[in-house]
Amino acid sequence: MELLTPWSLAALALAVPLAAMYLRRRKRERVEVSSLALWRRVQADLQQRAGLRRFRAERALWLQLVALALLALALGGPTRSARVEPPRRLVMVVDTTASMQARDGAVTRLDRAKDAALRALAALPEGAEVTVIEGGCVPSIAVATTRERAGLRRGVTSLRARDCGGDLSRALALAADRLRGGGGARRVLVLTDGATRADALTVATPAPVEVVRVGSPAANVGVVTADLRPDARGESSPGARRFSLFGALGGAPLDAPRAVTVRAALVRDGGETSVALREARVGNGRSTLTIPVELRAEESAPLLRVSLEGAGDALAVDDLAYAPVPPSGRLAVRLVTRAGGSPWVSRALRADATVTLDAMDLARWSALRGRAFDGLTVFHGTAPEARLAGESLVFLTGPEEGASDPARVAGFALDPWAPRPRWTDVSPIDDRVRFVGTADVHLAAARPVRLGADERALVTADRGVMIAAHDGPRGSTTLAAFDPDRGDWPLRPGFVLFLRDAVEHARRRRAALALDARRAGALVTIPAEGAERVRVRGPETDQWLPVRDGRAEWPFASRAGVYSVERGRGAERVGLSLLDPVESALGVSELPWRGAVTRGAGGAVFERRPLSWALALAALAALGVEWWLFAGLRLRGGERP
Amino acid sequence: MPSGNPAHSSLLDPETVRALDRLRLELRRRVEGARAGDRRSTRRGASVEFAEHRPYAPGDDPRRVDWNVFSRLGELVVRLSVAEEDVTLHLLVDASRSMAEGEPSKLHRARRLAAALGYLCLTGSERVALTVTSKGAARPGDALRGRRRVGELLARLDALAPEGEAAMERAVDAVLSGVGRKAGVAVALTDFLDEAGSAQRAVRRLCAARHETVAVHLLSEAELSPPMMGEVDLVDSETGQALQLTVDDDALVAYRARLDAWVSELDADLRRRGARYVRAFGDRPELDVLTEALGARAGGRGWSS
Repeated sequence: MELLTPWSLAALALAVPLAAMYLRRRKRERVEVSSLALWRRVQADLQQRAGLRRFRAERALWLQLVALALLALALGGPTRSARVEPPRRLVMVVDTTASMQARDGAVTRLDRAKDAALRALAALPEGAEVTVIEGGCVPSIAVATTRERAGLRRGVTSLRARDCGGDLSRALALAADRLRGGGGARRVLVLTDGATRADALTVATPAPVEVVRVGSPAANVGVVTADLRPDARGESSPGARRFSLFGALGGAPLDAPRAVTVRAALVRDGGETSVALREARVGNGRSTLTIPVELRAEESAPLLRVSLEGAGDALAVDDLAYAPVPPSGRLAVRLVTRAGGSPWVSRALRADATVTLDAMDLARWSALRGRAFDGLTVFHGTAPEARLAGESLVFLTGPEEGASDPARVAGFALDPWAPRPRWTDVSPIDDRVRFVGTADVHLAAARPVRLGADERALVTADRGVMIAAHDGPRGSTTLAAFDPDRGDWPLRPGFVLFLRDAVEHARRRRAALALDARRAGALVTIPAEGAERVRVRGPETDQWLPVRDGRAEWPFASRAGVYSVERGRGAERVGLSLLDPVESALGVSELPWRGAVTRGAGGAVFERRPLSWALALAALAALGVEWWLFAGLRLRGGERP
Repeated sequence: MPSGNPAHSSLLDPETVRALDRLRLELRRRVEGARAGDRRSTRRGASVEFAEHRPYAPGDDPRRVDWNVFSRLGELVVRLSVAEEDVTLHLLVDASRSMAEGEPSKLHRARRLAAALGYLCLTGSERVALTVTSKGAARPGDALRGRRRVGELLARLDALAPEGEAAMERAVDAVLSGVGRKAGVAVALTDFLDEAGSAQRAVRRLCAARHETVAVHLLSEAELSPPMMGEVDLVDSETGQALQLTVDDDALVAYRARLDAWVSELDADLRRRGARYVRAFGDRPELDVLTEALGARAGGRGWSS
């Protein structure tokens, strides 16, 4: 008999207080009798069977102790082995989570699992149907149900371990589903190293479950948490940002604490820039550390790579993790102007404390155009004719000397200049013209916008649309079809509010489009409003994802690494890591598996049949006998045998 | 102050007195030739009532030779007659500590039985001597005679209290060396519960002294079926000795077996020696006990007829 949860035997400790209570209750009573003559003879009679009498005198205690022992055993999940027939239908669940990558001698744990699976295939009777399920991050059927051995062997051999954790109970549920219906001897064969998130694999299966453990305990240290958080001290110098890198290192099983080097590096185009280095000592369990990181303005990058050096352990995939660099609380604004520019626009933007303004001309802007930028670009006096990417605000001015007015600016079609437009209407629903009024605005001239597809009017005048907006997958563009310097609008509060609205709109768009992807294997939802599809490129993948309801779902990213996500706004980097303490702990623990079967030395398979109910009933019977002998006896009027 | 009226005592209430009178009449009917008020001595004497003949022996009073028989048969025989004399009833009441057992106590029942027997005898012109058999009080009392002494007897019985150890043997010695030298009737009311067996030996001595002996054995309900269970310290009420015992079903069964064996042995032993053994166990009606004791004598040589 084996116990699934032997710790429940600790309940036997209750026997001590039970016996103590019983002995305390057995206080001697003083009874006066007429004579001891008869009682002395009785004592002599009883001494001949003292042992049996002692037992019978304390049989209530013995019965209660027996009931307690039976209950403790029942709680322990006892099972007994019973031989089972070879299956006619077998579902193999092969654990392919990250811990199966761990080296076990010259091979990996997964290699050992494959060997065991191939041996199990060879031992099956002719005609047996087999299904192979990959129990990785997301359970999937690796080989559909078949009797064809060669295909099964190929399917098993081609299994690869993933870079993510998983829950084997989900794979077991899938196996149970595949076995439902039909008859004949059936079995589930699970090949795993035991590292699974499920605390207790209690999935009810219609067939016995055989567990084959692979791998032996291996020393390992891995990064299990990596978060970069803005430091409360703020900036040390203009444009520089301070962060705290909070990390946790998990290690198990280690004979002694070991020293590792933690390196943090910014992931850049074409390389990395190391920003922090720290020695750390790791023992069994989790060690946390905090590393200050300062990023200068020119070191802006979306990802920080945290790696362990000198770990030298059995599992490499957890020696590396990525932490996204949080966006700055300030919004970067590029002000692109011709020489001089607009003092009104410049002054209004500089007055905003949440804005980092970077003034430039068109040539410099063009040079920066290929890089990812999540701020706002404001054009005054110059703007490309084509539609712009990202968040942009364009103020129209007159053409440069010698040039003619373009028919289109930033993708908007414009009419010729019209003198003295008088504003009549402001969109009540668009947040880009919130609190902007139409009164007392006098402009010298404007080019009314001819609205096209996906364009909307924000401010309308008697001459036509004065301010229009376009929201597309690559960003939103707002066009003010007039020069604010040629009018008194900059003197009105509405002008400052209009610029503030544009900044806030860009900030909201940045937050809504943020990518939240950390762990490999997890489902990633990519905001992609306006886009028809999203392209994801990275380790072993280059796929287009369809967009539904403004989102694209990116499943099965089971490889750790840096991915590029394209959703019409330029390529953005996302880092996926293992970050799973269960997978990093490479000690082999017992699986709390109910009803499992084991393989005997001779190849015979034994099923574990639970005995909890039988023991619980026996305990109940013991308590019933105790009640009948004592409490029931008293209720029946004290009759004695 | 003892009263002559038995109705004033808790030992003999009017109903009991009426029951005893009825019992007396019934016993009379059962005894052939019974005569009210008279008791015949077992000794052959010179009274007018013929008892039997026996051959003449030298030394016999020649006046008692039955010449009519000699003239018919030619043999000298002496005519014997029943001697008319009082019979003394010796009431030996065990008032040791052990007699305090039971509800009502064994001593109380013994007093009531003794009172009833004493009443029957005193109203029948016989003498009654009360002897208390506990240690320190083991001396025979004076013999009482006459109906008027009933109250005194009851008062003496009323005054009895359980104390000390049983000393039946010593009390019997005192009786036999005093008022009991002449054979009479002795009724011992005791529980026989003394480890030395002195009560049993005392009854044997009474028998040996040719007393018509009745042993009334009193046991309480608690002694028949001890109401105890578990770990107990049993303490002897007379000696104060203690015995540790685990009382369970087995122990109670063993006790009952030992008790039955002891009672049977006692019964057989006393009967073999000529005594009458009467069980007054538990709540057995006192009239039953009296009938058993008196009925036996009525069928015998007649002290109660």
